[in-house]
Amino acid sequence: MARDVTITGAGGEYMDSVTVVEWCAGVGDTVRAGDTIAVVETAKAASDVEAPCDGTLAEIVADVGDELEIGAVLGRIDDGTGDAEEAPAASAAPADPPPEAAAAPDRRVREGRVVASPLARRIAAQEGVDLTTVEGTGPRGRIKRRDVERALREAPAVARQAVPEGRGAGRLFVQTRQEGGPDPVVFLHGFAADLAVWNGLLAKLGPSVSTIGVDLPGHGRSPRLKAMGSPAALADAVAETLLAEGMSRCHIVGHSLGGAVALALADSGALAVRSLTLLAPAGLGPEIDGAVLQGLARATRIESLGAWLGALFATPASVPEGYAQAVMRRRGDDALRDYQAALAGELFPDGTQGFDMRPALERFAGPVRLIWGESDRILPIRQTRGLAPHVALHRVAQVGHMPQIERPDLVARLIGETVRSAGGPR
Amino acid sequence: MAKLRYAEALNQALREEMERDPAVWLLGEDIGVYGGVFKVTRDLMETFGEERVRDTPISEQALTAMTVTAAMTGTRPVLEIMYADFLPLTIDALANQASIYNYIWAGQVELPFVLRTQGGGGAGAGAQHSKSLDAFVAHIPGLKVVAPASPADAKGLLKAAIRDPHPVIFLEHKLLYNMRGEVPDGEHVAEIGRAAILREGRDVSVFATSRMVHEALKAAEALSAEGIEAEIVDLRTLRPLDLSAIVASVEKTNHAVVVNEGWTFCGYGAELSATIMDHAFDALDAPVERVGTLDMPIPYSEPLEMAVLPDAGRIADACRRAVA
Amino acid sequence: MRNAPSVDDQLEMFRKMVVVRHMEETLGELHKAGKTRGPIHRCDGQEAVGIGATAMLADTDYITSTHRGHAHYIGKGLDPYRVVAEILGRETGYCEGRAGHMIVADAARGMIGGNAIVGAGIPAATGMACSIRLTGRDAVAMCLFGDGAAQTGICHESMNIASLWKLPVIFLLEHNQYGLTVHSSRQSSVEDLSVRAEGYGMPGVLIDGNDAVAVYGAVAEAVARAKRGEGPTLIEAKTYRFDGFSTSDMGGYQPDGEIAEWRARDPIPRLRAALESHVGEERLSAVEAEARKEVDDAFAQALADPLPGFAAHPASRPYSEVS
Repeated sequence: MARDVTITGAGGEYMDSVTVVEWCAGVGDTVRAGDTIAVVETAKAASDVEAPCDGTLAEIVADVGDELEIGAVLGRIDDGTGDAEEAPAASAAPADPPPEAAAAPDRRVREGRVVASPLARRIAAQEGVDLTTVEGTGPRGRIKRRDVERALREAPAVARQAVPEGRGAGRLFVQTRQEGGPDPVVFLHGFAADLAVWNGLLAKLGPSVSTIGVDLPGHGRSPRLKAMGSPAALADAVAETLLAEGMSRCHIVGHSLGGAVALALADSGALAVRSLTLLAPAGLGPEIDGAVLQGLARATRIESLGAWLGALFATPASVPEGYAQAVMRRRGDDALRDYQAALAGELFPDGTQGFDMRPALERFAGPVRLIWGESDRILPIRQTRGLAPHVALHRVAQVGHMPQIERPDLVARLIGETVRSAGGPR
Repeated sequence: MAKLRYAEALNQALREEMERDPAVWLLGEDIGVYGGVFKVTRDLMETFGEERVRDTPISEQALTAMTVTAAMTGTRPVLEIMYADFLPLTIDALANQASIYNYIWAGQVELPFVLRTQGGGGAGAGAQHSKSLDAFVAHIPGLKVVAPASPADAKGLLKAAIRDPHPVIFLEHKLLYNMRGEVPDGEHVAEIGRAAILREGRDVSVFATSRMVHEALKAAEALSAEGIEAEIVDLRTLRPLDLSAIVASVEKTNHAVVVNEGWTFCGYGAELSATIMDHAFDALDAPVERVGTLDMPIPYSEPLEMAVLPDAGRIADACRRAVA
Repeated sequence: MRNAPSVDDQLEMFRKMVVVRHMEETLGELHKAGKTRGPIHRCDGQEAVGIGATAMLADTDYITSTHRGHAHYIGKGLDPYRVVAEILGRETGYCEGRAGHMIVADAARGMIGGNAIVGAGIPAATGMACSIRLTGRDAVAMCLFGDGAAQTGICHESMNIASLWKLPVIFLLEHNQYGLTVHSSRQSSVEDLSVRAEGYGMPGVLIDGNDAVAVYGAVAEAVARAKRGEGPTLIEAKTYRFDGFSTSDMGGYQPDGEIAEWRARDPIPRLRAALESHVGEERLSAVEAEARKEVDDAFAQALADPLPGFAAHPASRPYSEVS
């Protein structure tokens, strides 16, 4: 690796510029740290320039007689260690995550808080843009409207990027908000959604809860993994990602299919799951509105998507303004839609839930709470009959299949209560 | 339409109102025989006599208090306070008398009086004759505060002020008196409490008062050459604020710069900034920028005075910061 | 209008003085019982000035008062009940509870108004006189103020202007010897403030403020002078307040015996004694009893009245549209 030899304010002397008087080593010569390799002169006196390290003088930048400012590079020494700047982090991994995912870890670590203008926040919330993935170009790195709009324009390109497939080998896309709390809360979305469905809810959780949203395989920005046709398989993929994130204990919030995955994950023992908050989880009964699932998966136009989305809420009027557009924007990819349609066929054959999560629910030893809208048209609330008595059930009137959007304050509160009822860290 | 100087427009307003209503009378220092140090009241004593145009002793405190109670008891006095720098002498009469009576006495009295004064720097008048103490009077509930930036508004707003049943503080600017502008013919009465958009723009809203409106317009020209289109809003009334105009503009441009010739700290711009935050926070893509006189006494020598006062350059810089 | 009050006039003055005294004493009791709010500035002992000075005024004449104005209010014809209701912060007060005891106003009776800023009533009355003069009305403005206020800048400015413009205003200085806790000998460069009148080009009159008839006479003459267009008069009426500068007064600054000395010159028994030969004891007692009853009824009613509900004041709003 080439190390620069620079002019510094050596010896505390005030200098503004120096003249190179002599080189004591030539290109190719071996030098040792501390050897005098050049002599420079200021208005006052001559100074020696020493090699900063062992190595070979690789390059002379300033010739004898050149005048340099303080901090300028005189020459370069090759210290023999080879280049450090090549090879990205994901070197041997067959799954090549999209650039957004690679960049995201830096932001997660750097910021407890996203700095964005009020307008940028408003647009991001309306359009479902995750501010932690947006680069700010305003003063001091503030995210401004133009940055959010740029992210919106670039998002489809990201989704269209080639995402290789492979069982268990792909890291899922995750998004962490790290503020307080030793055991994070993992959020698992439902079929045909992605982790952005939690955005409005996360805002209400308060600073003491650390959260990690996961895009299930073939959803959002996660790779389209093969053989994901059961909650257990999906749970394995999630577990592998979480373990790779360094997590061993967590709470889980799961919605619909994500609820079934949550139960499967808790049951598998791969991680210590301390509590479960399940929003209308799949797997408690056979019925599911398969037509809606297929319709959602396959919709290519805002009009058809909007119609299917209406079925998810208590009434079509409960669909938030701009929601359909936001969802459409994130589903602009043929490959994603094909994958999800196929997945629906595997998980919900003939419009029926092909798996039973009741035993897993009954086996779960920690606090578990179900939140279910009484007007849920996708998974009817009657599926909660006959549940084990230790399972808390919150029936919410005038809410459909999306309580995290229809009643975010209530859901946030109940999540908080569930997490706290699991007690402190052990 | 006629092209008038700002001072002439004020003179016309006073003359017309005094002709229209015999209860209107004027008092102030040097306003009668001399016609006022800025000639706003020229020839009025000749027309209306010494009872209705009164030269007064140097007694701002008593005169302001007298104007208040004269207004309470059947006449409509217009008091001239020669320099805004003398407003502190009037504050007891404004804060403890004029502004409270309509409320404290449960509507038993109305106070149709106008206090006219002029302020502002740039004329080398020194630290005691160059200030803009808009914030002092705008702070007091129960007063209306108006600052015309053009001859048309000078006439229209002064007529409106004289007809208003509430106390109005009318803020003129010494460097605007000679400004020429079109003034509508006929009975031209403006509306107190309405701002005016003088230049439309999509990138940044500049809310300015008095002479700073013209500096803001100059800034807009310079910014336009850089591709930044500024919307210049002349507030015209400092209190009560035209809230809907302010909010609409910020919602449109997402950036706001407030310009007032008073000092910046605790100044009028600080209130505008807070108002914009209260009512248009989510439309803001950047913090509100304030441009005002630097927080120090206003010096005399030209380079010193010009460095302290706000101008088109500082307004343009603020706009650039906002959209950066 | 005459320069001397008739017997009926005097009897009415007596009645009003009794009303005021009983009002002050009742307020004192209520204050001790914790039923009043904020400090109250009683005028016990000064009644003759306020009552005597206003006895000849009409509703179309204006007066401005001070923080110690209860005698001025009653003298100008205000209803004791509505004054008391205002002092007790009731909705039924003259100002719906918004003003309190120092800033009462009744525009219909020309009492506009009390003022808690010392001296502010002086330019206020002067300004009213401007309007009177400009509109050619047959009226005067009178300002009652104290020896403390006589030292303010606005007093000097106003008197100069009033005399210069020959305004129909009467400056009635209620000299009660003290500005708050400091004797006027430590506040004024001259003992008799009326000497300053000459400096303002107006007549100065010095009278015994505890002689209601003398007050009446001096003020009547000044009113006539003002109405003739001859300008203002400064009348200095020497008097004394028995009960401290306010209900917060902790005392200790008045020499021993001074209060007793002035109590011996209490204006009410003085007028009563002068009237006895004209009107008779029985009539006087009846008038007294009626006066006290009026005050008792006023307090009883006012104490039962509701407190006001809050409403925002449109003219004070900062925005031209309701947000």
